[in-house]
Amino acid sequence: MIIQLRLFAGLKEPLGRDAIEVMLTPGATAFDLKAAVAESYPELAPLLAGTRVAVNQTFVASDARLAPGAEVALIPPVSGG
Amino acid sequence: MIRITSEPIDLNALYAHLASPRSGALVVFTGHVRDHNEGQRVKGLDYEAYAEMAERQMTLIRDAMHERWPLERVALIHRVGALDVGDVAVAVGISAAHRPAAFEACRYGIDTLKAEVPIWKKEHREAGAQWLQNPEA
Repeated sequence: MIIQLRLFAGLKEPLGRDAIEVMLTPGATAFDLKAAVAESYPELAPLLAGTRVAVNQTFVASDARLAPGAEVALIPPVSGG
Repeated sequence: MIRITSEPIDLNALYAHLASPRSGALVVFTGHVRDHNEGQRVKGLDYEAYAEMAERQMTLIRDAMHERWPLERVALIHRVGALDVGDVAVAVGISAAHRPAAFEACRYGIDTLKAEVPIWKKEHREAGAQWLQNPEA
């Protein structure tokens, strides 16, 4: 399945993009997603430590399974406030 | 009141929103852009938000505050865009009958916002700019 994901903050800069696509097997998890991003977009790999995955605007655990059509985002360690 | 805004935060409107006849205590925390960090001069901060999720997380924080403490009103406001030293980046406001709940809830509100809300700051120094991470995150 193809997953579209939104990028924010420092993750936008290496590629100059605010969204990317990765190809995942059905039933892939958030952990698998980050591994796929690192492999398909090596410029992002060094920035993924501590990055969380959000699905439909909610943080998910590493073992959460992803489904096509959901809004997925990579959330780098936050720095609001 | 939950708000992400690119306009300067209106503190008069915030106080007017929080005040109520039932509230004897009103506590507002405002976070301002500081002129230094890690021993170096800071020229300004750019704030970016994943706005839809940030509002959702801020709403969850507000609901948790109402659940844990007896509060009248809660406001969480964050500004985004390019901010100068001294600008107010965030406001967490509480009104309650009595001050213990107001102080505790306010502290919880800002501490949790800094850990859980998808907003990021890019710090501009003389030598360049970098995206920061909160220790709470």
